[in-house]
Amino acid sequence: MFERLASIGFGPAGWAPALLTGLAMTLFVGLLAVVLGFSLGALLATLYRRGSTVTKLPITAFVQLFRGVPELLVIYLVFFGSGELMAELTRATGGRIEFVMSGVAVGVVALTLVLAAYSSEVFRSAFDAVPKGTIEAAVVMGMSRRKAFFRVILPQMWRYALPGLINVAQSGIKDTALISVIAVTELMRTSHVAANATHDPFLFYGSAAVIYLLIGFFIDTVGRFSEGRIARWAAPSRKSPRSGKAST
Amino acid sequence: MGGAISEIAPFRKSFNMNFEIVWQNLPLLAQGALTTAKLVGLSMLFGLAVAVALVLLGSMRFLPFRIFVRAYVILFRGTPLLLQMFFIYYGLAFVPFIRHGFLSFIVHDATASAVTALALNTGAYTSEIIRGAFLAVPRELVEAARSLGMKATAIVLRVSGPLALRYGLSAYGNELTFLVKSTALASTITVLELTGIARRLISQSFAVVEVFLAIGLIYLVFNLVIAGGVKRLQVSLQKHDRPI
Repeated sequence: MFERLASIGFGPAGWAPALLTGLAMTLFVGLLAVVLGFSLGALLATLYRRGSTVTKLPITAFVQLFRGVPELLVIYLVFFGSGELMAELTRATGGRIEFVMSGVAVGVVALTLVLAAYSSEVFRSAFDAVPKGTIEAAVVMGMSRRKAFFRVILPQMWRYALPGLINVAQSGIKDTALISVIAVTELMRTSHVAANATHDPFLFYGSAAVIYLLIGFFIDTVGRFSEGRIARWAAPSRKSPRSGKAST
Repeated sequence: MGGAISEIAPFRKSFNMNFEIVWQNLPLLAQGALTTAKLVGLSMLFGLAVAVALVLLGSMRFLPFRIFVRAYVILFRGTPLLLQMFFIYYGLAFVPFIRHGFLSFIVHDATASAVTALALNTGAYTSEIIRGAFLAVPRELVEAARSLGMKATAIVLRVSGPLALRYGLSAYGNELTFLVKSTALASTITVLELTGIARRLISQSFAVVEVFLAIGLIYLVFNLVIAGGVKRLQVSLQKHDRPI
């Protein structure tokens, strides 16, 4: 019993430092991918809205492809694709500069692509949810497009976008587990290695599960809190997007 | 300058698409698609069974059952599927009872492990969809049925069930497309389905983009088939609503 506890402690045979390092990697990759992915998603949504039919087509293709294809396949695409690309770049410089891409970078890029595809849909539908009358009113008041966007559209958009973005972020954190297949030592991989080394899968997969649950709980709490703050101005949750259909 | 261009030339050349590797391996791709379809079909059936069991347990009066269902749903929805799959495939092999008992097929057969993990996972999500669909049924209808003297099973089968089916169908269609994507994880425990085959072809040929597009297309076909099926079912369930 005590031996079992020692294996997850900080002692010489303990896996706690390794698990914490893994957790740090998971958080690092997850956070970076969420920030980059949401930015790219917002950009794609903006380009889509402002664009002509010709620019809409590639964006739609990108979104449909990366939403419809397994995340693991995207990771393989970036993993092998970047290997090829880096080799070509190195060759192009005549071997003077050697380009390499670490597994962490591959993971961040792959997850960014997936999160961008999902979040762009969230941003787009949030924009569509903003009542058109408020935009027209802003234009009538003589606001410039820019001013109308930042003062009228964006504050309303957040409220509709936030629940969706929280969902996407939650699945993004869970998807970081997939980069363990390209040998990034994040939480999933560390717990797998520890479980095999100590022959105690319940303890290590169990602790990883608890940590993932805690991260998810944290994101959920932050989401709830900011939803409350963002929708402060709105009538108390009569038409809140969380509650689904407006009550009749 | 001339030298620089000739150095860059092979760089451009390698970006010409070459789908030969895809055509050559069509039988392999078909096999992978079949394995993926098998994984989806089996996990869908067992997942539905898990979901129905969860919903039934969760609607019981006995508190421990309800707590169990809540905990189950939180656990399976809040942790990565890969973790669940590894736990079942690698982790359970350490348990003598499972390794040698009647459940041994789970740890000895990778496909069985994958289907178990996928079914337990999608079951958690599906149970929430079913629960939400029943909650969306107007309470007055159920009360009316009860006041007419209908029994609880009859109410579920003839009043709230048919309505819940209509409410929950599109969400379930979404869940199925997620399930299709989730089957890719089976490749991490040696099941050779579409993504596993994609990985193999890419590492053999380095035709990265071509293989990705080909496999991506097959996944999109899967999703289209599911979306089409759901749509047809929806239309046929709404027959009474159709304008004449």
